[in-house]
Amino acid sequence: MFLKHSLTPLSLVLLLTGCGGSNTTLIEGDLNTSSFNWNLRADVPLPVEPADNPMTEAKFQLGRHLFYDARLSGNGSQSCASCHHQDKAFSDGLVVALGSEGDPHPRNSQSLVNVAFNSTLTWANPALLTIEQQMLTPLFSEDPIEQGITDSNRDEVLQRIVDEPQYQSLFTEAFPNQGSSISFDNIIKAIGTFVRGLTSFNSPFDRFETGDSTAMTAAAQRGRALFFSEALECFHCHGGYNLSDSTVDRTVTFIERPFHNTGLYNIGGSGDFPADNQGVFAITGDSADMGKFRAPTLRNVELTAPYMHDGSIETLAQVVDFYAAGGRLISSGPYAGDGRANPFKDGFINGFTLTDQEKQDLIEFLHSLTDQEFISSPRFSNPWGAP
Amino acid sequence: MKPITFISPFVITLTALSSSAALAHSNKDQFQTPSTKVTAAISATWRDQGVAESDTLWQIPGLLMGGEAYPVTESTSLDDASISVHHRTNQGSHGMIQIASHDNGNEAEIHHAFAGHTLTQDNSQWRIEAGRMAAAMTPLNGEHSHHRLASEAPLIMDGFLGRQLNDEGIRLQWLAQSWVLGLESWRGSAFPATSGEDGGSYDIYLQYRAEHWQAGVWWLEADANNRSDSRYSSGHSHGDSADIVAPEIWFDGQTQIAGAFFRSQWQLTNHLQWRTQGDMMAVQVEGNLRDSSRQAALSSEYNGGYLQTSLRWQTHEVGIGWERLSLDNELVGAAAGVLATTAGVYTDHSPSRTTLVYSWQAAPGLRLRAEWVQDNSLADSVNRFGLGLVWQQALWSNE
Repeated sequence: MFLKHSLTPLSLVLLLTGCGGSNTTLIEGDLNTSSFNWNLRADVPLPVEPADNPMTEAKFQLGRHLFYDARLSGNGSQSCASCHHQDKAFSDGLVVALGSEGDPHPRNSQSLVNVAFNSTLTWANPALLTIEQQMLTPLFSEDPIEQGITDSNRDEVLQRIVDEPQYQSLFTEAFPNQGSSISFDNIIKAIGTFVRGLTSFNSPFDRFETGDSTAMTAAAQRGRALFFSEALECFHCHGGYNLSDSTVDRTVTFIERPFHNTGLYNIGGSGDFPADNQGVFAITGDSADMGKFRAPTLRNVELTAPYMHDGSIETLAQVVDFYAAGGRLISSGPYAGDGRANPFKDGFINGFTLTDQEKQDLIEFLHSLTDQEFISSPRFSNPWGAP
Repeated sequence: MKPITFISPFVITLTALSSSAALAHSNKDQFQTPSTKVTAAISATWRDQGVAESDTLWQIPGLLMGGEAYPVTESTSLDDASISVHHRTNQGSHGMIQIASHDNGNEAEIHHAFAGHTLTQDNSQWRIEAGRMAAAMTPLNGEHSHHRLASEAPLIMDGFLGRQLNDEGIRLQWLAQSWVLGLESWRGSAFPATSGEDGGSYDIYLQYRAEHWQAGVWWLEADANNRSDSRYSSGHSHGDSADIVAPEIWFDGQTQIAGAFFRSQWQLTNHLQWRTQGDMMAVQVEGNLRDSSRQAALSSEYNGGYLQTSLRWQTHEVGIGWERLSLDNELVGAAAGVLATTAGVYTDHSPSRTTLVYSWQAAPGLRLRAEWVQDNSLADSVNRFGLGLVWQQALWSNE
């Protein structure tokens, strides 16, 4: 068929004289179909919406109220927002999170930025694939206790929600066609929708990437070049539009769920991490997974100190020093060991050398990932007023 | 997959012309006398600018490229350099070894290493050749810069065949009077195929040679698995590397190319000769394009043409060449847009190029040429000027 008109002397003449143009056709299916306004950067694909919990604005608004509602905890003292502050890109500024009864969590509160694009949730659980699945932990976990909802207080907590007049209409709008729609199942779906809708794509970096050459300072642009260089290797784990290699969207066919050991510890030289915080190893029991954690997005990273899964590095400058050294040497104490020589360390963590100016440039680039609109948007703010 | 219909008016025209063609020499004349010959050739050109910066990746928008299709660059560069040893026996056997420049003159490699044997029957010959060699389906595929009137490889060769289909394989030819029928099977190490499982390529061709002209038609099928742009570093190279990096994109699928060519050479007066040559290719690509996490089906139809005509008066020759490609790509799948952009196949641009060339045979074996090229192969048009030198010489021969 395709040759019928192609190999004739006449067609050679027609071709050379300009007849027959070029064209590209894209057939992308429902790639751009959503009833929700995701407010994404133009070149970013839509995230995946769970089939059993499609995004709606009504659910998002209900979820926003629930996210900020401390009544959704066993003792009525802690909401999701207690550990996820908007002004800190929904992290909390603490080394590790504290539960509603004061229990310290072994890990640092992650920021909730573009969570919709995460291929796994939390720091180190390859089996945790949806926000709805993940939310069972903060709501109902007993060790450590987070929001502290248990079988004994479950009805009481739900009654608090039922008793709030605003929720009647919010639940009805979010879950129409359901008689009695106030349930933990719907609470989880609504909060999941709100968290999934926390999208951040309006940083100077985003504006620069989409054509505004003045959006980033000269120093940040130099830092950007360093960040995306093979010399520093940062982008291998923190690349792509979401600055994380653990990213999935509607265009993805083969989902990657990578985890990395960055050489933060090497207790006794055996590759061990602290017993309560051993990364994917805690799930799989495979020694090769020791100390492996998900590379979080670096969006708004300026606001999410302290850093690493255990909050053990205080500042961005120290984080840069850590990677430049190719890991961390702990000289004494219970965690003594040379993380640089951790046998399970990721191949990208090789260390590098920077001048003081280059280090400042790199940090300036990381600052350019801050989305001021995201941390001040009324759309993501506490609907109940200031706590 | 769409079927290929091979018959065209071109073939019919060719067949009609063949009955009255006067033969300059029959195919049987070749490989009769034992001989050994050593030849060498060098072509180098200075250009005031290149089609791409020397430190950037060159890709014609809309095409997945590969092979040896490196861009011409600003300043002086080696177009090609080779040294060859040809040998033939009086029992009908022959062979050739050629070492040639590779990777834009940065490396040398064994370009040809093959042997063959010719069996002569009443009015025809059977010839078999095996080894590393250039495919013979069109004379264009065997040409290097020092063979050509102009220095640059045609866009259809760069875009569709990675400049030259040069691979390990076996060729079987039937030569009868003015006709040549050939069948070639290739390992697949040359673009657009890949070697190994699900790879490889083969082609078939029919050619007719008359006194003043020759023409032919051919068809090639190439299978690729896990094919990336082999011209550049695959994906990335770690550390402080200045290597040019190609996108981490792979193609799995099949490329089918149908081609036709003609060459003519007419002596207008004692000193004036008119030469014309043209090649056309129609390409169909069916397969999948993917990166580490995304995949989309790719279906492409490309057409490309190349026409060059020249007048030669004594040692001077002036020529003009026209080239044009039309490129249609269809990508299906959720990742279609992302992959089309990343792989560089998103285009509405039809690449074209016009070349004016003057060539002067300054001495036997030494040729100087001046070229002006209006290059619209990329979205931005470039005009460039080049001055080149071609040297080719038989270093030793017992013919």
